[in-house]
Amino acid sequence: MNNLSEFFKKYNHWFLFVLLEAASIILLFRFNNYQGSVWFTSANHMAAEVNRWHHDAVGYLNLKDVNQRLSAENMMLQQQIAQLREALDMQDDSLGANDRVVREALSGFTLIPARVTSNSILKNENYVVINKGRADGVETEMGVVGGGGVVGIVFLAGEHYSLVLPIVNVKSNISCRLRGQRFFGNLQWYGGSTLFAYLNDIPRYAKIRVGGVVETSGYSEVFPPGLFVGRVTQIANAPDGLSMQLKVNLGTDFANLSDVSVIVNRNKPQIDSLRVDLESFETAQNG
Amino acid sequence: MIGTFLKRLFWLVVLMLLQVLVFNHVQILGYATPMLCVYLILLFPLGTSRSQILLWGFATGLLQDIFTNTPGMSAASLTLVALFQPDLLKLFASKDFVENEDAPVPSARSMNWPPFLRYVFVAVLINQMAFYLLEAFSFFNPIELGINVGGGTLMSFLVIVAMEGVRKGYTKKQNP
Repeated sequence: MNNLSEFFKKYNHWFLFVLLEAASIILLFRFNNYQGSVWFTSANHMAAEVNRWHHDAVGYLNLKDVNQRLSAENMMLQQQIAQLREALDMQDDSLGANDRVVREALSGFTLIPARVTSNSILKNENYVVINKGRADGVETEMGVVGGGGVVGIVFLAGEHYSLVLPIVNVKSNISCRLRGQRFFGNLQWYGGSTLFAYLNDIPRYAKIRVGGVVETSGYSEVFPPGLFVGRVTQIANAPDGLSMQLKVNLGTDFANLSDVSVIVNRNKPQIDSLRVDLESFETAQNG
Repeated sequence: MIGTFLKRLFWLVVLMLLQVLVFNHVQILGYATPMLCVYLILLFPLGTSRSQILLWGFATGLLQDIFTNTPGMSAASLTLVALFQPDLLKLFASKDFVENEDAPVPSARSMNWPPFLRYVFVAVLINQMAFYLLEAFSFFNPIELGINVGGGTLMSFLVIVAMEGVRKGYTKKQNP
């Protein structure tokens, strides 16, 4: 303490000097425009510089937060992109010319839209699984159509999924006719390329030309008449020699099948009950 | 004590009047205005309290600033000179002068001319440099700054030496 007071006593003129100089400088800056402005601008410059350092430092420390926010936003945007891409794909599918024709043909029917969840084309017995089942109103033996035309028939209906027997299954047999003519036959597939199937039992005297449209006949209750199936690409004799076998270029691309619709058949219960009645009538007659 | 104080006050008034009425109007091509006030600070004998010299320096400078409308500049530069005054005196004065217990007032008579001239010149240089640096407040125009400092130092030095000559003659007449 003594030392401190001695120190102050010995060097008090320095403190006084600093004080007086400070007073002079204050007077200088306060009452002289030029020096005042120089001081003001350089002080502002210094303050701005220090603020910039502070801002840079804070920005660096906040980078972690910013990074997290950016990652979250990035993830959100990527999800959005995926959704939009899917929507765009669906849009593309539904804009095909065939699709519009099919839609028009089916305008009077109730359709259940469905997505293909599983599909195969390489085997002889190919099946398509769609994501709609009994809970959505899908029953067995309902027709399934896609953007390109007829796809197949519901073979088994689960609670939420259904198994579809497509044209490209050797067990498939769909009654078809030639557009503009009344000749009808059975569309069958014998394996191999999924682009082509064969229409059998066309009489030899039918006037057929390559490029003619093959459509559903409506004789089975599964499909309404006039649904596009494919076009004739080749005309040949059937192995039995009594009829013609037409090679049909299928409208549906089974290798690229995603959105389909199940045609709800309101008459089916009625037809089924008639069949049951018929059977019981026949058994009654026989018995 | 009061006597020396009043004497200094008298000197202050005389120097200030001379400065304001005469020397502020002296200039060569706009440069080289003599500043006398530093003379008052130079006349403090060794052993005077440093704080007292500083206060005198500041007060003198402030008074001059008020008359020349340069607030702070002269006050700052004269306070700087007041800080170094005892050291300059010890540096330039002869051993006899420094060790003299009577602590005589610095003058050409008590110090002899050559040390006194050196003492005055360095003090005036410090004063002028501080003043013009504060006035320019930048090194933007160093040549003009140099001319200002050089001319001011030279003129102030000459005027102060002339006054010292007058004072020496006066004291000689008074105390033969």
